[in-house]
Amino acid sequence: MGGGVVRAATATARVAGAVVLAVCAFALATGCGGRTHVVAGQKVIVLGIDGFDHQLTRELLAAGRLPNLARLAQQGGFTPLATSTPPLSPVAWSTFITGLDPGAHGIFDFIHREPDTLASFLSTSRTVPPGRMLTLGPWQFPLSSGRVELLRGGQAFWEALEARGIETTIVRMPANFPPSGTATRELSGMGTPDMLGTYGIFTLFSSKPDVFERRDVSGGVIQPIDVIDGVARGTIEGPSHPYTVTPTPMTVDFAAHVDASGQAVQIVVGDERRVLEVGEWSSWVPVGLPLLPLQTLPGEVRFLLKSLTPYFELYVSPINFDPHAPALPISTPADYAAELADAEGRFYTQGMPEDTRARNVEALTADELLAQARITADENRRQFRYVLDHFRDGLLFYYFGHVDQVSHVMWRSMDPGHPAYTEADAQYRTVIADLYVEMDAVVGQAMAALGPNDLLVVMSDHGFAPWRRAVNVNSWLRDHGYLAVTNARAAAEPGLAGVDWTKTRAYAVGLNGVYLNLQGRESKGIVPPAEASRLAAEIAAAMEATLDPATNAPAITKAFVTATAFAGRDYPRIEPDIVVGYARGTRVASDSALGIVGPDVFSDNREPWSGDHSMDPAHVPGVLFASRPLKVPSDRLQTLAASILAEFGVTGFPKERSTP
Amino acid sequence: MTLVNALLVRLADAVLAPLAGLPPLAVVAGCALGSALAVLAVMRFTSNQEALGAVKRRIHAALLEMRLYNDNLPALLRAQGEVLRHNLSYVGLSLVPLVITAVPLTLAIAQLQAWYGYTGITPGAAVVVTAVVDGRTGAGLPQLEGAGVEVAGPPRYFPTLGEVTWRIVPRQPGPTTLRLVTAGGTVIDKQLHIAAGDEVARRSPVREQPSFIGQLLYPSEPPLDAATGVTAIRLPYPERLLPVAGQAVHWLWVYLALTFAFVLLLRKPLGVVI
Repeated sequence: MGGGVVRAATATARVAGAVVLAVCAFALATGCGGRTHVVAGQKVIVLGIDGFDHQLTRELLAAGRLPNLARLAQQGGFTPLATSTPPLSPVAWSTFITGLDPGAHGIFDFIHREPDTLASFLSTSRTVPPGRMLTLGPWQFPLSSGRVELLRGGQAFWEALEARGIETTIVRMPANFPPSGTATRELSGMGTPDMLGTYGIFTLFSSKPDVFERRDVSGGVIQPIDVIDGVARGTIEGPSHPYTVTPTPMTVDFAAHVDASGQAVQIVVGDERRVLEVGEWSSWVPVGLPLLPLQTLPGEVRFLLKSLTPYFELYVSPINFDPHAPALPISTPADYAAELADAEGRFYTQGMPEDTRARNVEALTADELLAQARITADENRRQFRYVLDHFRDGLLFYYFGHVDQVSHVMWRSMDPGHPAYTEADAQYRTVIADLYVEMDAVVGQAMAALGPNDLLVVMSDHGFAPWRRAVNVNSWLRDHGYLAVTNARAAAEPGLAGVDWTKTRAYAVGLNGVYLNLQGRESKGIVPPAEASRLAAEIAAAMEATLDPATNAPAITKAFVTATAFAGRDYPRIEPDIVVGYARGTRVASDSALGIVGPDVFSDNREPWSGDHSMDPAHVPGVLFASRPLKVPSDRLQTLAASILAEFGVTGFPKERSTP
Repeated sequence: MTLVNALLVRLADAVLAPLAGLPPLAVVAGCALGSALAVLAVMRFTSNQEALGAVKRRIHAALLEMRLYNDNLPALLRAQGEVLRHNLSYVGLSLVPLVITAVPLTLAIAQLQAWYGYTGITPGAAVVVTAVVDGRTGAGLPQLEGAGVEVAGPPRYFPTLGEVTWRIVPRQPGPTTLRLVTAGGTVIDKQLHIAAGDEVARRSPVREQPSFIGQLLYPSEPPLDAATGVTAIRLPYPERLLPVAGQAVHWLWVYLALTFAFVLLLRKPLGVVI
């Protein structure tokens, strides 16, 4: 009997062994074998540089200012990289991440509109509040936890590597907040909000009586402040207290003590103190937003003392999450952000830290913005050095965003033909080129870390172009009979306030999107679905025929009807019906993007924001460099991830998708 | 207290300076082991070990009674009363060794904090030195100088805070002395340790006028003379954190946790009832 048991056990073990072998063989055949060939210790480094323009890169290469990129171009090639439609960063990076077009990944702009209410919301993430609350007088307490959702659809390309046991480190990838949780290490990038849940709200404390009077300060708050007996006291407003029924902001008080000579202040926030001279940025100041008597929400801010005399002016950055203890998830694993902060110091957790909004309303001067961009770039470079030093094998993606942000507000310094160009701009004409040169040095660091089997890819999501002329698309729709207004004064307010929806067939919200007022989708829709494609084609054709009276050239070189332009149609409620591709040098007017129907269709752009890329994608290609020829060449952002995966022997990305 | 501190500083430096090249975690662990042995020795020789053992057995008995008679309310309440009474006895019996160990441990922690609580100020990085003054600045602001240190810009006086600040840029790694000269010509020294790397050394972020708490917390330098008009000098040494299992942890938590763990581990082998 004993021998029978032994034999039976042996037979069972053999059967089990055979099953295991069969499973392994199947896995090899279907999963790794034949499709995956990973060289042990192989490194693939992808540097993503937002807004690195192909034309400017070519010029700087020709001038010999980018020696490392020139070496890359020689070793593996340099090509323009066709961007997404529309060429906006969240859209473009989502396209890169998923290998899908916007119709399939669902990111069409920085903001989307809710068709029922036309309320706008961040396109890439959504905060879902707790389901049920216990209300006790003025207080409320959540009975379940809230969460933050990533709205990008599709599969991130690094998941295909992780599924095969290849480690991936994805740092500051845009459109990846909250972090997907599928990489070995992740830090979320563009799309990560400040603590107010926005792309960044600054505060400017000023004693100047007329500062920003009657002025739109989109992206910021102007607070009056006075120096009384040598001290200026202010309050920084945080998000609404989650435990009060009536929205009440959590606040942090500070005091700015002015020195006897009137040249410096000492800022005191809780136990933290910083001495600032005029024109100086502070280091990070940890702040605690009071939540409960013994509990605070940790954040961090930077101060800039703009002036002391004749007026006191103090800029406070948006409240960033404290990377040591972020209130929302910003990294994978959760303590990776703290690891980076411990190693290289605190950093901007906000996805777009360069405060171009403050620059655009002149709350920051050009020099102040450049100093801030220097801070963000230094933080980013230090972190890159740390991440690179700790990267052993697999895939490393690392993102730099400051080139894009500085290009937006400094482009006209290279563009004497810009309508707002002045002699004062000339002093900044090399600023953007200098950033390219600095990025070239970063590329050099990455090249030095490569082994013989390794690969470095340098890419950008889109290029750049001057923005000289602005088109108010809503005004264009009005003038062409597609949009009606009931009240011109109300129509001049954001949010399409004065629009007569009973006579409106199309409207514009955001940078490139035009929406039909569609029955069954919009709450006051009048366009029958059967007429939608014909109407969209009609509007698109009319747009392409529009000439800018100032230049007598087409203002819109391509208007994409998304029903035919996008392969995916998974997000019919939020997808625009037309994506407007403006001519090089032309962009949507900021007013139009906010839903304002202005008096004029065309105007000169006089904002500091003088460079842009939300145009016809053909005008603003990105760049692609590689340290050796790619096994599967790519010249499109949408197919680049598949080419990177092919370096690991992974094919079939993105997966075939069934029609929803 | 000044004399005690001076002696303790010499003693601590004699012990810790030769260990400065070792990983801080190893030294903190060694100190925790030494502290645990000291705590056990004090417990062994200053407490009534038999009485402690007996009261612990009674507590266990009362806990067992609570478990056995949890459906008998009067018995349960009586047992809880017993637990409380014996716990008070336990605290009473532990009081003497607790007081005896608290004093040297506090002094030892202050010395360890000076050695392992801070990292050095990095050469080339501007930092702000603050002198708290008592308001008598009419004769002029104090001046600051120091070998291997560049004083960048003029002093800033903040009357509403009663503080004078200097921005300094350390240039040479190593220990140096900042010299603060008051308007009356009085010279006040403040030690500064500049470190290029993660060097372990004695550092004191504050030197202030005499106070019991101040001298307890910052024993490294003698207190300031009240007649100078300077009540404190502060340096912004960054806090040192020790890497423990991938986490950065303040050395004190590591020390306390390890001391506690060593006490628990060693009490039976050493035959000590705690």
